[in-house]
Amino acid sequence: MSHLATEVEVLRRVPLFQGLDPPKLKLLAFTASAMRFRPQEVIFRQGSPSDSAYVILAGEAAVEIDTPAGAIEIARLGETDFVGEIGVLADVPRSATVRAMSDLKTLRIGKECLIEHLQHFPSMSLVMLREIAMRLNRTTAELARQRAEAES
Amino acid sequence: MAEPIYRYVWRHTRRQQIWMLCVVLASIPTLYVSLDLPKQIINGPIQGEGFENADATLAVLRLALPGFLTGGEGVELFGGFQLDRMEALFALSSLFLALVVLNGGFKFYLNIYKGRLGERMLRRLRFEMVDRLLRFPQKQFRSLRSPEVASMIKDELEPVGGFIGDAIVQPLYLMSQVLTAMIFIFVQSVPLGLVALGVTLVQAVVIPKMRQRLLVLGRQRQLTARHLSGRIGEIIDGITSVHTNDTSNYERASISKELGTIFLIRFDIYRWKFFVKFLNNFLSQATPFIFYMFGGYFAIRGSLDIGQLVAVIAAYRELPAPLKDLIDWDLARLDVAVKYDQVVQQFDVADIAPETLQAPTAGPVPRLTGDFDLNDVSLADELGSQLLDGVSLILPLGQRVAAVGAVGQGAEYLAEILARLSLPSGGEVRLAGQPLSGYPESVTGRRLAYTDAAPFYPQSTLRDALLYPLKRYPTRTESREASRRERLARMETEVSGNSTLDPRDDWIDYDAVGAATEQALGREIAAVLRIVQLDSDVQRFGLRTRIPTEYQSRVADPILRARRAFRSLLAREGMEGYVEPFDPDRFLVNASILENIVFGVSRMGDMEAAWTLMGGHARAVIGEAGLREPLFAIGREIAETMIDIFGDLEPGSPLLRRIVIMRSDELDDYRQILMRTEGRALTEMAEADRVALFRLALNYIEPRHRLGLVDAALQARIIEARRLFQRNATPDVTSAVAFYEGGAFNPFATIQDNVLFGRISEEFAGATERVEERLLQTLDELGLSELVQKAGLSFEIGSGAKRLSLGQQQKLSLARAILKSPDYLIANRSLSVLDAETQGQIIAATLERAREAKRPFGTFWVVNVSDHAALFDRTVRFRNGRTVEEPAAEPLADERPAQVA
Repeated sequence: MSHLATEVEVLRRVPLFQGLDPPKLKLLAFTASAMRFRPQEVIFRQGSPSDSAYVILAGEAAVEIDTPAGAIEIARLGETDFVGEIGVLADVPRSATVRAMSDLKTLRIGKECLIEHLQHFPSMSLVMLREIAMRLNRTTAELARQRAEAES
Repeated sequence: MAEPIYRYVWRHTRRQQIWMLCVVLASIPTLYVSLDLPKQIINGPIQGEGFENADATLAVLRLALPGFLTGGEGVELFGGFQLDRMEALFALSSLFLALVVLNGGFKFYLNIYKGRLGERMLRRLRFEMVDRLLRFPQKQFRSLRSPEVASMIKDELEPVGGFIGDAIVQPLYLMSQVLTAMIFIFVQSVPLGLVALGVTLVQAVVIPKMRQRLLVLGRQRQLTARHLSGRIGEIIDGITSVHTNDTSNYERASISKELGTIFLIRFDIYRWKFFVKFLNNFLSQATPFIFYMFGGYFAIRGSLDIGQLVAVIAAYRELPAPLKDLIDWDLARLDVAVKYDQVVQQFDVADIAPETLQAPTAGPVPRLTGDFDLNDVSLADELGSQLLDGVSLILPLGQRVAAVGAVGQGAEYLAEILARLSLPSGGEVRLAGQPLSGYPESVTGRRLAYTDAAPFYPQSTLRDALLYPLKRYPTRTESREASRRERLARMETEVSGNSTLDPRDDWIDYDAVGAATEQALGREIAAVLRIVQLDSDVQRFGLRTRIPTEYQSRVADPILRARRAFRSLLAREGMEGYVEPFDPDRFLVNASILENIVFGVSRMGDMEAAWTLMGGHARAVIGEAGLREPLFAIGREIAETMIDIFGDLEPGSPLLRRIVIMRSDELDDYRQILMRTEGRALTEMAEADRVALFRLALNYIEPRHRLGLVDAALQARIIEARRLFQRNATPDVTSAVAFYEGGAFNPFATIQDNVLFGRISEEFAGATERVEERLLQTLDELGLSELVQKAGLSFEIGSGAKRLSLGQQQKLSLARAILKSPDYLIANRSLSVLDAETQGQIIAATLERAREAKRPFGTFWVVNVSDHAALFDRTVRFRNGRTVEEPAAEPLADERPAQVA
């Protein structure tokens, strides 16, 4: 069983929410719903509508992509990882499938709820914007490195 | 119907009015005699006139024809009884009493008779207005404000109905009373008669003049009040735009302005009314002064005897009441005539449909064959722009046609024309060889089906909403003639010219559905619900509903079997963790503290209401189990946390909606309660504060609210409270709650609670869907799905179907269009809020049904997604109000998006 207090503890360590003051995290946690998944259960499936984002509170999950050759695992997620937010923000279908690899505890933040938070707390939007920009920066750098490798 | 009110009254109540006149005429002699008797009593037995000799007698009840009738001496008809002085006093007084009773009797009879006549006419008028409303042309409804029309029929007609009883007889009756009294006074004394006449004339002339002003004001008041009710209606209908635009203060200001206007008018009325009253009272009370003075003078001079004086004063006292009533009547007449004209004008609409178009039609209407033949049809809106421009089409009734085109290109207007919801401004539409406009609604309403994107549902059950289109004429009537009340009700319905069809009969047209019995109808409904993909929704509603009473005895055993089967199914699939079973010795994590203590279901369906009813017992149990302090602490903790989390949000923030455990407007109340109760013992707090905090605690559900407030020790105490609650249950409690008992069927619990006998865990993702699916599967295997559907159909959809999603409402609209087995289905973008894939599936399933040989139907289906046109026999494309040759070579550029949020 998870409690608001422990959930706030985890949220505080989520990079996307770094720098948000505790009352806002508490509000976010309370308006989200706690959701448990069993091992091998699918949290969301590639191609389905993005209706919510998840914060992993405890346990492990795998990110899989469907290919003609079958599903390929491309990443592992653990405590404090935030997943599904890009689909919600960009309003595009899920780009990958996420599957629980152990008993998985999450906080599910509905699309509307997340957007209401962002609208209400500009500081939150700013933090998220910075984090996503950093990710883009890393991805671009990675892409450049890969290209350079491929060319040489 | 635009006839003057008197002609209308005369047309409908001629016989009754004449009968009342006869009664009035019959009442005049008794009135006259009753005025004359006091004089005889005073002059005769009391003053001793005619009793000068000790053994003198008086002839009482002597009847004679007056001399002027017979020429010379009067002819005696009856000699009367010879009585001595005392006997005469008693006899005359008794006669006076008898006449008073008789006069009262006449009045009573007339009033009742008029009242009944008025009520009947009110009923007739109201019915006629609604009848006309039902026949209004469609375009009329665009400019109607529903609260205004409703208030016209409800409030404004009321005085009209009341007046009709009085319309003719009242003035004549009152006049007869006034004249009788006046003539009587003149007969006694001409000078006093002149005085009475003068004062009466002043009253009759001056006061109505002054009341004219009142009438004008009254009309203004009515107009402003009607406007106010229209404005309030607009606020309610437009509440979303008020909230989303912060215009509530503008609305407040405009209402305040309206109320100000009404106030001034009302106050003006008030002043005039009491001034008129003052004058009236003064005149009628000052006149006796003249009688005492001049009457006394004449009496002393001997030209008037005491009996006459007393009789004149008594007669004059009879005058003001009828006179005032007469003036009131005249005002009412003017007022009512105005009201009547206003209302009648509103309902006197040009091109109203003739009655024959909607004549009740029993029995089946033959199928339509042939086609819709549109010849150069065009449609222009009020501003004159062409919505449809010369469309010529032949749509065979057996053909499934898809209409494709972006919104506003014409397809939806043509759909409305086919459904006769709008009339073409040019061209001709023929159905099966005859002009479409000539068909009665019994043909178009039964053989054609229409569904659009914004269906409206009144408050009803799902079943009633689904079967509504089948209610055209009673198919099975029940005989209710037995009771006197029923016979009376029926007679009154007939004399008021109302519809004599009885809505309590069974109106469902089983033949149209192709179902002979109730059960067959259930199967047909199931099939249609599957087509529109509403079946699992209905089944899920059913799970959350009690089993209908008439099935309870039969299904108790199967339900218990289902409970066992479901348990083993859960175990087989490793899903036991999803359900927390009802166990009297175990705390239910997924239920509120209240539910944990009561451990049963409210017999009246609402647990909070039941709880209030059990107040005393509940308090005792909570105290005994030592829960008082902990619950209070929990309540405080919840309130504090909510204020901590939500207290800083500005009012109106959408995040405030997510408080769930209390309403957002209660935050401030709780803030104050916390301040008031800070550091106080429970006994020192106000009762209301205690109750408010307990309420929070009792509704707390740990996995949902996650404040970590329920530990093992508290759980143990709650279990103890549960035991005490049940063991010491008073009769009040047992009549309010049906406790859960292992191995027993609980008729007050929902189907789900009975089969599940536990709570679905809120903790696990997808638990609810999975468990419900298994539940339905189990119920189906045991042959109970029919029952679940039946229970689901008893779901109350709420006013305007607010308890259904828009998608469900659209599906329901299509379902009922299919259920009535039409010859032709006109679907006007009817599934717009569903995703494209679901729309496609439902269209395909509907078309499959349309191709069944048993009851085929054609379609004119304005599709939202042009790809779906491929499912149909033929495609008609619309652009700029014209049809485009098919198949269209080019794809439509501005196709409406498949999914509308």
